[in-house]
Amino acid sequence: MYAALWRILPGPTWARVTMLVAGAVIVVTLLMMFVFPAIDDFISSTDPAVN
Amino acid sequence: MYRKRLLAATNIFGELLITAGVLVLLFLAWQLWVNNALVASSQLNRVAQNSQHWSTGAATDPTTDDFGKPPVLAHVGKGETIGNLYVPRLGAASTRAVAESVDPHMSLNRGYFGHYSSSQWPGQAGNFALAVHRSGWGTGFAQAQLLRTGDRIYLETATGYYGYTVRNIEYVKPTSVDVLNAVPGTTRSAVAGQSILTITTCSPQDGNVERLVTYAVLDSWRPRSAGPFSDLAPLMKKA
Repeated sequence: MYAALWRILPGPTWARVTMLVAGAVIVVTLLMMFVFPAIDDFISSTDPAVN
Repeated sequence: MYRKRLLAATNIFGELLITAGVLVLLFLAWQLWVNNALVASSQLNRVAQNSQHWSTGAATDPTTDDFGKPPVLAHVGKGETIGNLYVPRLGAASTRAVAESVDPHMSLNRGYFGHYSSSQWPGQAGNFALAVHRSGWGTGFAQAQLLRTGDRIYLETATGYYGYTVRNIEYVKPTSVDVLNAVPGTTRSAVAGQSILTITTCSPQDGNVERLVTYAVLDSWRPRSAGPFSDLAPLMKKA
């Protein structure tokens, strides 16, 4: 999977590494800004209230 | 050929598992640090804004401490701001706003102390009961176990400052809803002149099996025109 991704990317090693790092930064940012807040309510079970 | 395909499939499966593991770790990092820090800083801004919005510019007037009986605070709708809660023992950075309702979306997960709508209001005979997260979600109450009998807790509102003194702390089961009663832990009706603040939070800190409950008694009050309590003023400057 990741080996295939490496093969598909064009250019010399430094260019591929740069693209992968940039891609990782984008993915992590999107996760933290949109995905995690959206799924948090379904995952987290700590409830400080008594009920 | 068959062996090669199986190997490729196993490879991909392994990589998917590693990816899933990384995603879980990222989620935890988001929950414990990223989101926690973002919500905490937006809460501190909100606290400062509230203070400024309600400000009358009055400095602490030390000539008297007696302003009569604390008035009953005006009720607000779900999700609306009730006041700012200061806990000197936990430092100025622990200050958070208080909002109506304990709905996670409306208050708790946005860093607020949430007011149990079924409980009473500050100044009213009975119990002003709040809930707050103990870890994550920008909580300022993580070190709640440090609170001691006699510690002060202040509620700043649009009309004035309510001063509470911690009476005791207690660990209860998550189902102990009787801590929210007018006289906590009993089924008695409210005692005239006795206004209690009850704060429920998680225990252990990152767990969910118990609740740490802090009880404080309303024993002082200053209108906004008289300025804040003398030991509250420095906290408000720092918050």
